[in-house]
Amino acid sequence: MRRPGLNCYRGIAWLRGPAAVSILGLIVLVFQAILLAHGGLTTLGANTFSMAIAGPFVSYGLFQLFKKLKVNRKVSVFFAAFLGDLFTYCVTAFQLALAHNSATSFSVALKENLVIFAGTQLPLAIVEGILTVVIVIGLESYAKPELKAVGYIREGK
Amino acid sequence: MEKKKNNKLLVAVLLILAVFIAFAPLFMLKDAEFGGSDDKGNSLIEETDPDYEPWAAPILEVILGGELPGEVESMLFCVQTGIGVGIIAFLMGRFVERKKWMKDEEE
Repeated sequence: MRRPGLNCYRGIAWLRGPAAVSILGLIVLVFQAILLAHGGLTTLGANTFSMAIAGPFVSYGLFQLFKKLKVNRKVSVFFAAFLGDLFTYCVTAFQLALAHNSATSFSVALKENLVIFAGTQLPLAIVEGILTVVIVIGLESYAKPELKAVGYIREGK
Repeated sequence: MEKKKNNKLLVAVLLILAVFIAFAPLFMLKDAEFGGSDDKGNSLIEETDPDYEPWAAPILEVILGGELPGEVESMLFCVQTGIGVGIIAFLMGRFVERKKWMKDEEE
């Protein structure tokens, strides 16, 4: 039997649960903060929370919920990715409104931030949901052994 | 076999849809300004919190003594994307080959 390399597991880490993604997300954000001046070291905690903790946990929770409700798998992958992506930006808007509201009130700042971040992210979130479905279809057709190994597909199905 | 064909069609439709969503605004909103939500967010902070002064500067900007040029920033993002796509393509290529192999062994 040929054994898959370790990288295959890492590539589909999100299937193993959201906790692994949090670490990976932190690594990516550290690189972007230092090399790209995108994000930053002082906002690392806030960015990690919105991007690598809140989003993935929502996606994972939704996926498990859809699984229990026996929704079509492709549909549930789409909505888990789509809503998780959108939720990331809602959390960002919430964080910004919480930090910067001295001239108005928290609720006004939250509304304005939501318009900017959730509004612009809507089409992107749809695209991201679509691409995630495409990747999952690819993995389902070509990487069955790995998916079985992480418990995504049950044995003998 | 039938299911496989359906999947191929679905993937094609989904990819076309994704490209359409990405490029439709360019053609449909000809006079629109295309900016980033980051810049909009910055100007919103100036409105909701006018007294705020950023108290930290990105490390790279401190080293360079100025902002990273926009083109270089785009380039770095592209390199990041390229590395990611390379890894995914390499692994998917291996998976596709392996499936062929396993089929040959069965026969």
